[in-house]
Amino acid sequence: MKLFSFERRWILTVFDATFSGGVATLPWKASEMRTTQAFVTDVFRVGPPITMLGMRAAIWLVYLFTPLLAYALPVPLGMLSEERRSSALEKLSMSNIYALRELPTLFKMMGSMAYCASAEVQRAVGIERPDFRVPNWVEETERHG
Amino acid sequence: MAEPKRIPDGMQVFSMVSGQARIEDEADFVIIGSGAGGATAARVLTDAGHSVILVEEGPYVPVKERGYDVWTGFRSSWRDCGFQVAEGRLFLPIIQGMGVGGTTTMNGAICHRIKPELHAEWVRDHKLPENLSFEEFSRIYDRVDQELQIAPAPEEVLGRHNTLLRDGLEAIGFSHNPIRRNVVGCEGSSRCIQGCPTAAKQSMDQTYLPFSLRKGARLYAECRVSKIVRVNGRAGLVEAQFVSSPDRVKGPKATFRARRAVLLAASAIQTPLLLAASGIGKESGLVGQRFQCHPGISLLGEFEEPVRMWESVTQGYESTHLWTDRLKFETVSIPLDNAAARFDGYGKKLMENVERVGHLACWGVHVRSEAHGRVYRDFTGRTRIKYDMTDGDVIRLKRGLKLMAKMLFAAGAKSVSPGVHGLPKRMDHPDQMEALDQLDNSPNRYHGIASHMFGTAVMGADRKRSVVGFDGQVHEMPGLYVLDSSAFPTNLGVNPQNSIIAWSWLCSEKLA
Repeated sequence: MKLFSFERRWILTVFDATFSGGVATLPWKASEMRTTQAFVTDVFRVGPPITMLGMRAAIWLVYLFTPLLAYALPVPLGMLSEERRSSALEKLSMSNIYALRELPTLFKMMGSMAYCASAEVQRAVGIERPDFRVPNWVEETERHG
Repeated sequence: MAEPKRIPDGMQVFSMVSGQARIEDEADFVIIGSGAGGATAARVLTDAGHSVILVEEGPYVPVKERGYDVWTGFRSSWRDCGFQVAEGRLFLPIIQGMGVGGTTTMNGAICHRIKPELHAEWVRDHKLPENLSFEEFSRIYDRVDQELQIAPAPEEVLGRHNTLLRDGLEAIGFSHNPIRRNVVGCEGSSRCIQGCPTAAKQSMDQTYLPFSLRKGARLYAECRVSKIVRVNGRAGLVEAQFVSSPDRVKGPKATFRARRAVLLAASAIQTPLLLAASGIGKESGLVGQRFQCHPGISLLGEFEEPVRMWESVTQGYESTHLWTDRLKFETVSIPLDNAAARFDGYGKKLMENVERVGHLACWGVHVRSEAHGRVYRDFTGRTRIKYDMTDGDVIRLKRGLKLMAKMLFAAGAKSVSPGVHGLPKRMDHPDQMEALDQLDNSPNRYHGIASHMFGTAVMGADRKRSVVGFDGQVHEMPGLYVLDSSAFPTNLGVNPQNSIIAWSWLCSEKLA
């Protein structure tokens, strides 16, 4: 399954709101990382189609309606300040409606497999591996797009 | 088999055979699935001189292709790239391997025997015969202990993560032990779920499969079985198609003929689907029913001292002190790129938690749940798993969480993150967990996972009340045997790998 470029941007915006901000040892922005960019392409290419369809619907919901659900603001997530994006997701994750509070969690789960997979992030928090290298799927995705 | 040899990447595996319209092959036995059940059957039957074909839906992933990151493991060796879920009030991720070696390649290498009390329950309630006595199971367990070199995790690779659980269990007066594992020379890199990077884990792809291949077995990987067909009234033909993994490109169709029998060991999810696709299940109505598993939940504890989960055995310490109360506690060193999903907060708050990962411990409790679910294909052909924990299961999980919080604080944790909807994000005293009792028993307050599947083609003497006999043979199709945990009457409350091996071995011995 291939995403439209705006859907990719939306996902990366949600990843940024989840995984970036204010910590000196982890200065990287999720959307600018190689692993994150490759992951978005790869997961939609190889993931189970029905699950990925659900993810695709989820990104529309999260990007377009999180500010409305969290702050009663009828604007997309990208229109909020970076700090407010994070707190809007946090607020949504505390919803009493199970389906709603799982939405940001879903992207946190996906984002962690991308952002936290990078060797620089792992090194920054003290994890050293003798075989740190760019994962195969990153190179594969960059080769084939 | 005197001594299983490690043959890293030395297997000859037929996969995505291109340029041929159709693959045909024939052997005494065709085995579907190459995990604990299938590989064991191949080991026993090839040792007895029989010819064997193994058909595996997932790919062969050589050790050198295993990565340090979770997604490399998920996309290559986990069913549905790790996205498989059971649907109920809670969407519960179901952990299952898919590849040569099955779940044995990505599990925590935990080896347990069936508890004598549970075996006695099976004898009493399910009329297990003498040939499946506890002594018979033990005979196989003893042998497998030797062959897979099963031993308690040694002190030097436990790391602080596992010894902290020991401290916590000791403090609250629970019995405890290092986990018995099938590893040789484990370095404690905490990467079991990505596939062991050093081939220390004695998973089936390192042991029984190479053994069987050396004895002449042929292994077809990335080959999806669609149906088992009768020939002269017996299971005699397996229809399949090569489908590449993970990108699902279809290859040639394949037909495998079995002169003696077809052995099905595709897991408690795929086995009933194949039985149903082959027209089996009308007599008992039990194919795909009575699905059981072990739902589990983790707690994160933050310590002043460094814990460095990644410098320890993935799962090295446990307590079955409350097994009769259906609870089991264990360490779960999850990699950062998996664990971060469980950390509190978004943005800065989450990043601060990521920064502190070196001080976090992650312990899990799993419950021998009472709930029964079902497995089936819907009208689109998609696999569906319907499963909902009972109130009793949730109450047990609450008790487990409260006890785990006590252990964490007793071991020196300064705070605990329960990850439960309706509770504070962070607690600094075990008594705060008592608030769990004020919450309703809705399972979707929790973020859990489920592992260890059972019961979807249950064994028994009565063909109206069971799917297979006590020799594993399917009542409705002579010559077809179920050699995985689908046949188990109930869940075990402990990790099932060795009991699947023992069941498969006992059935295969009779066929040999």
